[in-house]
Amino acid sequence: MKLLLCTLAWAQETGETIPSPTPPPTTEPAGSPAGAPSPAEVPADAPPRLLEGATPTWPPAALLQRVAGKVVLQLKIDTGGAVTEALVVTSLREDVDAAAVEAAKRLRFAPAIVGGIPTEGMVNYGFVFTPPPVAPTQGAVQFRIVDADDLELPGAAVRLTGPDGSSVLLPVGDNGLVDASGLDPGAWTGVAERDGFQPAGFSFNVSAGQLQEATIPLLPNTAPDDEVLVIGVRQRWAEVEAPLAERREATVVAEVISATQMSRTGDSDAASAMKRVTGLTVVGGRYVYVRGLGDRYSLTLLNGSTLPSPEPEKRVVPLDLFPTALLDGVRVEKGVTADRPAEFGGGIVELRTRNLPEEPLFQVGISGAWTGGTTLQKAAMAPGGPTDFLTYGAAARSLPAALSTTQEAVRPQGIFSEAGYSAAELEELGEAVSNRWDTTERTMLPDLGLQVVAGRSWTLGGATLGALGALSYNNAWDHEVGSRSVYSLDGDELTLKRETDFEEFSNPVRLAGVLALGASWGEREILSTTLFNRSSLSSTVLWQANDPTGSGDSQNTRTSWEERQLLFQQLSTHQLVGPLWLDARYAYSLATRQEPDRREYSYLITEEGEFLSQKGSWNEILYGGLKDQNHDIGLDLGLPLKMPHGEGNIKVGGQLVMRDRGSSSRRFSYEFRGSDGIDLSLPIGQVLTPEYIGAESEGDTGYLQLIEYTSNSDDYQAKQLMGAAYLMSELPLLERWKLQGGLRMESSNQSVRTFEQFDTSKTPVQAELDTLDFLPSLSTTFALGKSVEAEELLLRLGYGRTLSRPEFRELSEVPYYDYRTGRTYIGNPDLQRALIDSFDLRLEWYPRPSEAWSVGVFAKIFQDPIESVVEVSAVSGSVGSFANAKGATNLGAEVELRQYLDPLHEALAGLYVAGNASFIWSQVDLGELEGNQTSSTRPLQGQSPYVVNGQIGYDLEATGTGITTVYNVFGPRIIEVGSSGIPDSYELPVHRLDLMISQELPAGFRINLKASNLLDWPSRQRTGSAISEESREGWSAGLGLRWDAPKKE
Amino acid sequence: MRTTLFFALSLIVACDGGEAKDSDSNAVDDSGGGGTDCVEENGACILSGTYTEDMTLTADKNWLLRSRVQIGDDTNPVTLTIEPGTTIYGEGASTGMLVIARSAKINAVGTASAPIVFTSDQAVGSRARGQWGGLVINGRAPINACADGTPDCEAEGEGGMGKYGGSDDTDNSGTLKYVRIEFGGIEVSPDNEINGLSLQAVGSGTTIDYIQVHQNLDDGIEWWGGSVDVKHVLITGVGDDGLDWDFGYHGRVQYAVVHQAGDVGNNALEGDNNPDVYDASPTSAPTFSHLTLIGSTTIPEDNFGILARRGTAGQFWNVAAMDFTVGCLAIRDQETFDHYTAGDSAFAHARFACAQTFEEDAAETETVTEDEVFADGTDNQVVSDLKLGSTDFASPNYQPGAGSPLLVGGGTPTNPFFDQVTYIGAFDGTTDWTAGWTTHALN
Repeated sequence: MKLLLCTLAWAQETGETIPSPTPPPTTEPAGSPAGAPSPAEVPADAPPRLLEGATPTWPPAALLQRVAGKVVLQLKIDTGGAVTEALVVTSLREDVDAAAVEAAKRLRFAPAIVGGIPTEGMVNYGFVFTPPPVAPTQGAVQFRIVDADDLELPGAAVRLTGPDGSSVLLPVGDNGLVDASGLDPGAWTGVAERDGFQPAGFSFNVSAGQLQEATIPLLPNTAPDDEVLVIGVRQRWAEVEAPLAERREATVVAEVISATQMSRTGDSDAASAMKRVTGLTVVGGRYVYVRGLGDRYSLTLLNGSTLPSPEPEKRVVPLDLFPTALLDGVRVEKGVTADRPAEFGGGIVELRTRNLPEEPLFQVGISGAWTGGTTLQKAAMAPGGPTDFLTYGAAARSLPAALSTTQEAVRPQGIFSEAGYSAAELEELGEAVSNRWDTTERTMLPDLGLQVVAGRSWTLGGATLGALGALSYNNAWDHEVGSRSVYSLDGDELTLKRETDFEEFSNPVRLAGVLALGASWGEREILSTTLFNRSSLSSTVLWQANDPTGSGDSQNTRTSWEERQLLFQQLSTHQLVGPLWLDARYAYSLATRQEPDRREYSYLITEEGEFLSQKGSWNEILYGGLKDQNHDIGLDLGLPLKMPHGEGNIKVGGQLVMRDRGSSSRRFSYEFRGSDGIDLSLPIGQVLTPEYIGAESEGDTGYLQLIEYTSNSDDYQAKQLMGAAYLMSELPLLERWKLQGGLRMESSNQSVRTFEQFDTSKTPVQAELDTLDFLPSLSTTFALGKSVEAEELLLRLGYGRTLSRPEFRELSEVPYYDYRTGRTYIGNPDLQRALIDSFDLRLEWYPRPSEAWSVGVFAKIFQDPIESVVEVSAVSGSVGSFANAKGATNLGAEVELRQYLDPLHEALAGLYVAGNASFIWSQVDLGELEGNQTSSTRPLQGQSPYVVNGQIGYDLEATGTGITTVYNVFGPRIIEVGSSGIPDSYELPVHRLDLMISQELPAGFRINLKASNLLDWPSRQRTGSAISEESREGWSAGLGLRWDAPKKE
Repeated sequence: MRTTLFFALSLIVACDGGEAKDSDSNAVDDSGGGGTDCVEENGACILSGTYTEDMTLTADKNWLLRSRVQIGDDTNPVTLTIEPGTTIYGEGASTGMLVIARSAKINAVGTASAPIVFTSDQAVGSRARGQWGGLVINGRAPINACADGTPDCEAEGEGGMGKYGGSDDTDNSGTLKYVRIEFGGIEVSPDNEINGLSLQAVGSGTTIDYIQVHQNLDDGIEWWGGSVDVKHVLITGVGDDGLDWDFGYHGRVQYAVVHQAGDVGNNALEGDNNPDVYDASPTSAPTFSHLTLIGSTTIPEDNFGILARRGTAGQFWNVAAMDFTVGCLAIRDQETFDHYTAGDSAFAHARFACAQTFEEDAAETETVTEDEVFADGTDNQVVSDLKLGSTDFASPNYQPGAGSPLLVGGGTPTNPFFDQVTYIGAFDGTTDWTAGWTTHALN
């Protein structure tokens, strides 16, 4: 080409400046040839002469990227003056060059004249591309495409789809950057792609005159092309779409909810955020039911490691402990893979703590909320301590030293016994217990929330170091008023047996922090995650029991303080070892619960007034403590496999979990030794005084004595050792068909030892269960759509076997009293673990990266499910027990959608709807276990027939405004299984509507307005046709302010 | 229909001492076979755990119940014999109590002068309600706790009191005679105190005569189903109800006194059918005759003489009641009233002396009222004063005095269990069957 240029002596450069084409490229741009040679009249030899110019059409990408410069072409012009060939001499960019070539073909020339004869000739011709000035109504974005280590990735491409639906593919420069400007305002979506990486979808809003920057991280393919760097990468979820992408890439049915989504719905803890996930319900504000299966069937992992629980009789981890400020997201796996613990039935809830930041990060937030009927009202609370507001209140409520050091139960010494205390000693002990009986009025302050997040990373030699810390504090007040009714059967009619009007004041406080430290160099990464969560709950319940058929009415008070703590330390590493990748993690976690000094007392309501009850257990002081610790070691090794249709892999690994739980409680009561001379109508704090504690003299017939009622089953120790090994493989069998299968072996030994606190000579009662199971899983994914494009249609089919082991105490034949349910339970040493076979079929469609539609069905077949049963008892209420039922079946269907509305009409840009619904049919066949239960077949306890969540949101990026409306409802679910012919009690649907408005302010501030529980729908329970419980918690309105430190650069 | 009055010779059974069977001296068998050696500790023989072979407690030793002591293992016939005059202490520090399992028997036959006493291990003067457990007898008679008609319904007692219930209405759990149970009723599980004498599905083959429960924290005697007959009962100063029945008790009771102390106490009689399912079968349908119920108006708790509710039937003959704060009689629930309409339940020869005779409940919805039941019965009267000797709690005299409305006008059910006598209340005015073997000690 150079040669040609040189040989053409008269070659001249001519050209045209390409000015501002307006974006619809159909409009012909005005243009005039610049510097065109003036055509010579005749004979002399002349080069081809331009007669008619042409304007190239701006390639949309070039226009968006504001490409400027000149393309010089060498044109061959035939004797008729037409351009027959155009060669690029000076190239600007491929698409621009092509536009130039196309335009050149439209040029008309006068042919070259050689010797008076028109001759074929050549000429150099240049097009100058000058992008038009950006319209003030348009915006611009610079994208930075990076890999997991935040290194810029060359060779990628970004496809953007504008509000009008047109899309454009932008190549990414070698610096990993790509600019897009002149963007029409509105909602844009995009997908970044690169060979060897998973496409990453994102969406953004263009607002007039704004220049935005966005970093798009790409994750390597699960089976990457050359290098293997799979597990070492942790997800970064900045936007809604990443979770969808993660779900799309998952090999099993999974749901993902990101921090952004959680902040959008305004949920402050993981439990309330879980309400938004398809098929999930939250019971008691703490426990997640996946697809309606009870808490026994959920497993919670934190960054992949198992957790202990601070709950008294359960292994389930309460999710209200985790503030969303600490979380990066939550992933709910409903399918089964061999590399995950198999002890679940509904799903695995995996919490992920915040990641190391790519850029320095500093964020502070403060929020407040006002609750109707609560804020600034008076609460009747027991006296507390100075550090209660920090969740540390146990010290102020601890057992008096005189009592905590006793070596035996506090009981009077008998005339034949060495055990026990003298009357004088009992008096002293009785007077040592602080007189915290009477409640005082406190004003319920507005809710307060504080959060700080800070982090950054450094490069040190070839290594990257990162640190992130987050702290969160919440202090709230709840006030609930309601009534509860117990019915019995009078003939065929339900008749009111007891009615209780209650009022509850509670002050939940949560203090939590996370610290993540990480280092990566080469293909190694080490990460340390420390999580420290505390929560306290101070509460008072006042209830008046009206007993129309019983022996009298009573006015009762209970004051309590519950303090829970979870400490979690995890070390994990991800690295390459030869051709293998290795993922190892170890976590130690400790959960504790203290319930110091719970007090309860009762006044009898008589025609003469209210009098303190004299029955011992009607005044009660309880001290409870629990400690549960967990060591979890996990190791995964993977080998990538080259397959004709992509990368497959084989993965082996193992896990060892050591669990250790101890629980202890002590219970005391003041007993009347006659009540002569004591005015029982006085407030309890004036009766339980040194004046009346202890006999004045022998033969006194009116005094109180402190007696211990710690029962022989209040103390237990439990252990579990679980070992697992697995083998699994993921194979792309055809281009669009992935198959994954595995086998997991799990062996577990669990034991529980119930012993008497003060009588170590008594042989503890031990119960044990050994299990060894082989658990297969198989899943397959068909890509029905175009897999390269963002648009994808996936069909999943999955099968997996999991198990459910008894809770510790369910195995022990020692009867124990559950202070929370107020019921006595007797375990069953013959309990076996249950097996669950799950089948899933789901069709997923991702029209655009931020959009998803899915519809699925599932079936779960239970063998020997552990069900709670009711033993016949003729004392106070029924005795609970546990047994393996014959079987149970759950069948369900789930639908979900998340859709932006701009395809309907341009004006709807930024508006989206999201929703999901689950319909579940459930039936337990109790067989011979029916016992005294009213129904022999019924849905599983806690199972809703339907769960519906809906969301409508509007993101006005131009003004930095976001509006989200969230609605959810669950279908009626059994809250208590009925016995003796009394129907099962159902919790009725509660419709809940929340509204969040978020507004960006200058200087990095953002203000949030949150209105919760707008419908204030009553929470109700129904027994047969009668309402057995009704309460309301009230609406609340909150205001939050957040400040993000401006990013440098 | 009026009941014919029979005048018959009052049998003074209180003097019948010859029946006390002298036990052999195999007092707690030393061979170790199944009884236990006297494990002596500070002057008492310690009883603890489960005994699966016959044993005898002798009067020459102090016996201490440590924690829950169980006789029998629910299957084997084991007999516990207790000699007259024996005192068994319940250890307070360990919640001592005695449980007679199904298939086992208790043979505790004292005499009026040498009763068998179950009591607190506290020194006299420091004794009070609720210092130890109580006596529990489990039998195999029917109960209706299963509500759905499960044959051979069985139930689980709370606080580890074992299983009870079955199909043998004539089951025999042994004999209790001249037995006193005092200062017990400790809590055995949260919110659940133990009764002085718990008769759980005890059958009619069992003999219970001359029994006192004194200063128990919970009820005096409670029947859970079963059919055992009881005669000569004295309940004094219990913290809750005097006589309580539910789950289908259908035995007979003659001569009973419930005397409330001034400080605490609920109802003298309280009866339920199945408390959750009022029409469960077999129905609670006891027959009481000759009761003296003495309440106290100083108790800071509303109390009734008789509270019949939740579907119980019952025949109440010759009941003398006085001084209950909110009513000598309360009947609740339609299913309970239906038994009166149907003739399964009735009052006869009642003499009520309460400031308020019947419960006043504005919310009552039943189609019948207590007044109607009372009026429809036989010779029921509201009187101003029972004219008892003395109702002083510490030194009572339950005999009707001169001019008492109780001395004549009574009638007796025609069942051979009942002594055919013509007075009302538990005493004839002269013979005190509580003499000698009972106590009124305050502490």
